[in-house]
Amino acid sequence: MKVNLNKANPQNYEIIFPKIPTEETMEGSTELTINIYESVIPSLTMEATPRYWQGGVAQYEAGSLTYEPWFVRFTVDSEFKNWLTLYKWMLNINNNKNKFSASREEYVVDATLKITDNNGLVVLKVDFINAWVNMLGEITLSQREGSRDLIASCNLMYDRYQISGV
Amino acid sequence: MKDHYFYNALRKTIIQFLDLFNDITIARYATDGEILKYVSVPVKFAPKTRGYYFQEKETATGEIIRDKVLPIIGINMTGLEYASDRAVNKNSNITSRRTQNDISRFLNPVPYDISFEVKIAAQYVIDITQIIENILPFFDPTAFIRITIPELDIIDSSEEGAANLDLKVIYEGSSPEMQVEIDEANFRVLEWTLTFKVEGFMFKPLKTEGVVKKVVNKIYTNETSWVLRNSTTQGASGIGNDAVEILTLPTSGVKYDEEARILYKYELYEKFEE
Repeated sequence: MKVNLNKANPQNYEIIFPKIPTEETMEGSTELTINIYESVIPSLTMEATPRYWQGGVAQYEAGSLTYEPWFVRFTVDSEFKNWLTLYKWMLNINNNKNKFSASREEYVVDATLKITDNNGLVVLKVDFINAWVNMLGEITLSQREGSRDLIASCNLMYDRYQISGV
Repeated sequence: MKDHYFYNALRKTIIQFLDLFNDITIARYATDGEILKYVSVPVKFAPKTRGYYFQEKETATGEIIRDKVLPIIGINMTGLEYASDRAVNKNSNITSRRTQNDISRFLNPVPYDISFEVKIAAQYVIDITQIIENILPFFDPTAFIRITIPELDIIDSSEEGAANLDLKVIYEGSSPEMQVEIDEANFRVLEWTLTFKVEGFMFKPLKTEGVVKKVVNKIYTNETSWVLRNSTTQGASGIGNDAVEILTLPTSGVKYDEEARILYKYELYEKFEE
């Protein structure tokens, strides 16, 4: 029997974004990818419903699966390329001026989160299907925090994620 | 006396940690920036000797001289502490080997943090900075070393058995010591101390047990069969329908089982009444 005594490490991951729909080159998404420092495998919840019988209760699944948004934190590059890429991606869907919706195919992409073992070998691939950015976090500008890098965050919505072992 | 066991886990951890700093080479430069030669930096485990700055050399004429060896890396183990933050289920057995006749198991390894001090000594600042630049980029802030313990079947993952053990090495900090005042009899030695923590493990002894090949079970279904438990009557006709097992044994003793080839002790107990 093979037992693995080694533990997973939170640093062992890599996020890969394809070309964002509003990009002409990969410049912005590359700046985003190389500056990501924190992310999650989002939680998922299955709805449950109680069924009562003779004073007792049992929990049954109610069929619906909810994926929480995919949260990504990144350091903003000095030319704001990665932040602007996400901003343009959002405005491509609705700019609150003259474009109020977009065809779904125009703004969704499939992104990948790779989990590696301690030797860099990919052990798990999490593919986020039909992902699009729905929240771009605030950026705090300050005269008193000059020693820190500027950081931003974004939430991505998606239909589901599928896991594949490698 | 307790059985002796020794997996050499601590020594293997030290050796693998030392190996991280092996094969570091620095260059010596001319004033115009051209590389004159490459010098490999020796690594020593500091408790071994206090005189690690010196080494005997034989010159071209056969003369033995003692010369200082710089740069050099001296490594010392400075602490060993239980790491409760890495503890997992300590009652869980891990099966390492299973044969037809026995099964070997060990309990989850016990986490211990091992602290190391890496002292880099050199005569020139350029030597120190080269060595540091060859070490620190590999710790961000962790790197991994790997040990194997074949006795516990913790071996290369390509083979059958438990995977090998990856130990995390964490860079904790550094402190440069640059001498400012030197008396005439001495020479300047620049020292830079790096501290590291290795997240290691210690192991409890392996337990090997024989497998259960046969279970001897006697059941008395009612009082009548219990009363007749000492009967030496062979065959069911003398007891009646109440006995499901015909006993030819006294209530306790030693018996040899031909089929399982085991000598076993047995004892018969009174029927349990619900």
